[in-house]
Amino acid sequence: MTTKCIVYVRPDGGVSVVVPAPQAQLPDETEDDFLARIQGKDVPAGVISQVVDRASFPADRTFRNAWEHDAAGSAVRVNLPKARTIHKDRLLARRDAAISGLQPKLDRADDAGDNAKIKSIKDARKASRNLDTTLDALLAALTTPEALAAFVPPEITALEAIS
Amino acid sequence: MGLFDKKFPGQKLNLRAQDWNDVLDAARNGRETTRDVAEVPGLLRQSTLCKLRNQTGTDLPRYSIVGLDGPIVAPSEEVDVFQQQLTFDGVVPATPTHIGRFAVLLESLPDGEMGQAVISGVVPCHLALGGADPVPPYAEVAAGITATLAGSAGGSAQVLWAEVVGTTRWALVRLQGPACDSEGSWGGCWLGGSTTTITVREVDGAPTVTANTAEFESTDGLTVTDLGSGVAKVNLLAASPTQKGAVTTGFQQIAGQKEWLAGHLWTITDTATNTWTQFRNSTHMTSGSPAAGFGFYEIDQLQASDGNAHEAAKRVVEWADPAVGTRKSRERFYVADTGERLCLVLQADGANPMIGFLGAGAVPRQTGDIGTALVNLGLMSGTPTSGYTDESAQDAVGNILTDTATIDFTYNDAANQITADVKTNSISVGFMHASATDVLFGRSSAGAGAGQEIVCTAFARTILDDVDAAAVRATIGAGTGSGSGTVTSVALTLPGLLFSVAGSPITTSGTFAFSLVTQTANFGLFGPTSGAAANPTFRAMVTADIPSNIVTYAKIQKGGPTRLLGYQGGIGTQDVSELVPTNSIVLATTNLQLLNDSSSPGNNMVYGTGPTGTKGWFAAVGYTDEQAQDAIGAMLVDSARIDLTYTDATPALTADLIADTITAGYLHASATGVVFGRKTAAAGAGEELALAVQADMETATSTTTVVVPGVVQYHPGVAKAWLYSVLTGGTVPAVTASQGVTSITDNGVGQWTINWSITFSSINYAVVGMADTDHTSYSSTLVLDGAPTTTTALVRCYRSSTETVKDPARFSVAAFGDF
Repeated sequence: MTTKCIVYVRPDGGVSVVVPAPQAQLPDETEDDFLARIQGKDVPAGVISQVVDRASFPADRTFRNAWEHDAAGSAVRVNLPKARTIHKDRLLARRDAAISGLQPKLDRADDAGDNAKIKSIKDARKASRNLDTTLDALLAALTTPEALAAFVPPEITALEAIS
Repeated sequence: MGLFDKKFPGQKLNLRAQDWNDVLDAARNGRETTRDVAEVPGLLRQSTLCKLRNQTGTDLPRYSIVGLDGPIVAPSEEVDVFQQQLTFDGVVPATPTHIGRFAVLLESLPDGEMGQAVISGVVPCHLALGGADPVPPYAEVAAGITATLAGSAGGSAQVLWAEVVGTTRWALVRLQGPACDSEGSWGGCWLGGSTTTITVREVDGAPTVTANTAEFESTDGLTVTDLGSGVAKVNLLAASPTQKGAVTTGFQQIAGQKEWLAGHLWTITDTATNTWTQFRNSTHMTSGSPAAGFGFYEIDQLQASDGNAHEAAKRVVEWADPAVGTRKSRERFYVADTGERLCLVLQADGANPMIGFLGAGAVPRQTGDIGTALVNLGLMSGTPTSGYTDESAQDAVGNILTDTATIDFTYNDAANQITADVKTNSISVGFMHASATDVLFGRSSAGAGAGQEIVCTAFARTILDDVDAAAVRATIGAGTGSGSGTVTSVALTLPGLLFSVAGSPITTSGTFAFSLVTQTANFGLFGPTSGAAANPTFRAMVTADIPSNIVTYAKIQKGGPTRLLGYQGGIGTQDVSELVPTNSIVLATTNLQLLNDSSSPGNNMVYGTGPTGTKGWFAAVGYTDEQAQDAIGAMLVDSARIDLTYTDATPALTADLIADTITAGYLHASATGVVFGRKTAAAGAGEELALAVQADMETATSTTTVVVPGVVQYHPGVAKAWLYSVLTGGTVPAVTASQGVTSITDNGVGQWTINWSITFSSINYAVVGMADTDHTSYSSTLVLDGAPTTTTALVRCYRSSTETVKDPARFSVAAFGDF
């Protein structure tokens, strides 16, 4: 069974990966012939494609929409600026979700007259909203996809930790 | 210490009375002189310096050269100022306007400003010269140049001193106006420096001499002697206008060269006062030691339609080799149109003259073919043709060949050959070569070869000259031909093998008698028994003497009744003899019969041993006999599929198929796509059933056709393609199982293109799919993204809770439709 895929770059800049179905390989058909047939049939006409091994892809699909590839034969890699944008959107969505979940907690604190709690929740929420302007700089300091994927600002962590 | 020695500050001043009085007198005298000048209107204080206004358009440094353009204040404007002070506007020098009319700035002068300049006297300035040129005696302004004066043989500034090397040299020059101011001018041309001495002498009469012009009649001669460097002009005023003209001769140094250009200018004026000019310039061609190319050239210039002189001819004389021991000179002749055209080159090569035409180098006298010679001389261009290899020339030669009565010419165009051959029977005696008397042409030496002269003896010549046989007989002494002779003995010899001779020889008269000799019994006269031909001898016959197949049966010895000719008994070869049959078979008169059996057994009888063991003739019987039947039964052999059984009592022979032995190859032939079975409702004999084809499957109504796996896919109820893909553990999806799918294209998070291996007949087909859920936080929905194509379908996976595109852990897709 082939471990090869076919990669090409779409006109919108995105990377498409054609994964051959092993069951489609004809009896007595060599791997090269099989890949060439798939390349000719399933790759859009007019684009440059390359056969690469599965090992050439990033370690995971965390930033799948930030993959990039050039025709020089290099491995598929993550475009860091794009990945930062993706991760930023994810973090802000995660923050927004966390903020959405604060209201019941505020209500409970209010009911309990726990002003300290109320203040801590609001401080955390306010701090997290500052991420709208500070997050870009934080992400810019991260230079690998792995570091980027692992990064969660403490403001969000604190927000999610509120019980 | 004298009166005029200067003192240092603090030094004691000790004057004598007389010295002090002298100082006072000197001071009084100076004051009075100054007052006198200042008090006299119009008196110039300074005649060697002037105030000059820079009108060159550029800022000028000190010691720049400017042309004097006129006073700043004209007399018509303010005569007092004009008289009291020398002022000029200084401009960029131009020639000839500013020759002798220039000044040297004594201070830097911005454009438009006024300052002091020297117009007469000795002043430092810069000279422009060739790097190694000698210091010239004079200098003059150069057009457009403010930085330097140009060194020359004649000029208005005398060079008193200058640096000896460099292209821009400091110099001290004396500004004195045109040199001719002191030496006089003649015909408007400068004659050179102040040391030039010119002697003008009228040959046959007194010249008319005015202040600036020396004039002569046309018949007068003119001698100029001791003319130094410079220019001389002879201007003859003719009695007739047709004889007007002028000759100017001069020298000029060429920039960058040591030597000088010598030139002549002829000016001719006709009755219509048109003027023609002609120049001849001779110029040295090098500035260094003589080397190849050292020499001079002359250029003749003629006035053309634009009124200007243009080069018309040029002659160059130079060394091809300047070394005195091997010196060789070369002379080149040019004519000109818009450029120089080399016509002729003459050169010495050390022993011979050489010549070259039309731009070619000089070559010595040419040998060989004329084409090469013409090319080498420059009279032809291109590659020379040698000899008569030119096709047209060869053909021309071939065409002029004319056969004679004796010679046949043949021209072979391909081989470029002319052959001449003597025509047959055309060479008469007159063409034979001259020979001595009594010589014949022929061959006396043994063997074939060239013809030779055969010298006849006088006797032989006499025989040849004899007119008839009688004359020949007379010559050789054979008489007249009617003489007689005598035979004294006649002998006869015959082969002794056959004959014996008696009576030989006969010396007078007699008869020869010969007889046959005796021979051995049964011997004959034969040639050799084998091998090559040889004389015959008497010998016994051998087998080889009898040719094959010539002895017929009739020629064989007659035999007796009931006899055979052959061989009987014994071992080895025997003579053939008659045989007497004594056993079972005898030969009857016409038939072969058994011994002592002369009966005729009749039809269908065979000879053998009867049922009782008796030999004799018995009637032949068929296969109804029990033994024959048994024999047939005994030889029955079953095969793998047929079981044969023989029943002796009947008798009967049966054959039956053996169960499970009949394979498809033994079934009867049928049409393609048919199986054996039964399609009729009731039980009965087997029938042929057709295999379902694509149309049957797509119609999906047949109940009488048989479905095989290869057509199941065409049934509308069957999924045409499907796949199951897993993303867990991989960065790109894996096609774990599929049918009718060649690949999936991962376009990003939750977006895939399913690439069918089949082509649907239209886009009207169904795509269904499922994606996984984790049962707690989300579920996934697989959707078709837009209309599919006949070969692909784009699907997306959405997280049901957020309606955002996501990657599931696994998903499956199936398609139903027609293809």
